[in-house]
Amino acid sequence: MVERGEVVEIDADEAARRVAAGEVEAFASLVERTTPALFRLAARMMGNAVDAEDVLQDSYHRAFDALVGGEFRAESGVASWLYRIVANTALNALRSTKRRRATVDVDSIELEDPDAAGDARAALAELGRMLDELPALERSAIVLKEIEGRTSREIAELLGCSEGAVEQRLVRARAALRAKGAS
Amino acid sequence: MSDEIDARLASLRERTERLAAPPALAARLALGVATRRAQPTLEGSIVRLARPFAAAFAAAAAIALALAFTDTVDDELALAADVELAP
Repeated sequence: MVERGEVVEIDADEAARRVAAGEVEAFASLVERTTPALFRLAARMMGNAVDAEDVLQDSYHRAFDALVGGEFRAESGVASWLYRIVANTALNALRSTKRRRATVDVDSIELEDPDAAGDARAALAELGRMLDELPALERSAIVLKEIEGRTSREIAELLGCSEGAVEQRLVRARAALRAKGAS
Repeated sequence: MSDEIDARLASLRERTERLAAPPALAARLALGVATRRAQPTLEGSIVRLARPFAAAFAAAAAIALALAFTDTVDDELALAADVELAP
């Protein structure tokens, strides 16, 4: 914990422990600590910032309910736990027909380095277009593997399927991307 | 995977590393959770709205049951009378 004047800063794990113990106000600290990384994950999976924000809101609702309901086990740390929630919420959103297909609200994204704004926005838009035709599970697998840098075993744990199923999805996704690239 | 697709994904990975959430996003998300907590659930609202009518529903159900029972008894009595009165 870091004290800065009257503001007491706590890390994400401490915030999660406090929320689970009934100090629900600490949830704001948890959101503040974890949003940057989770936004990047959600944006990469969804391919646009608007859907990413919806996914994050849904994920934090679920996380809050789980914390106050005593369903969180702290073995892996709250950041990993939230990462899993966001990955699954994004997968469910990708399966939904309500999502915004290939509509990219990149202007709403702010960047740490303004000079890189145009390029990062263009990259997200390009990623969204490149993966837009893939089925939800294949798209999620390829983003988690090739963009997030997760292993097949980690992806299997995240998405609740076997490692073999992940490999199969990756093969199909790559085949589809090759075919799309060739067409 | 073809080298071209590998290279394209690797490039997109690197370029999207620089994506950052809008500064106000965390505050909006936390507010979203707090707002939902403050609002009653839909189910709770429906139960609360229906509560004043529960007695009326129960009374109506009791009357309907009583009428149905009465009709049944009347039918049975009538049937019995028919049987007895039959030549």
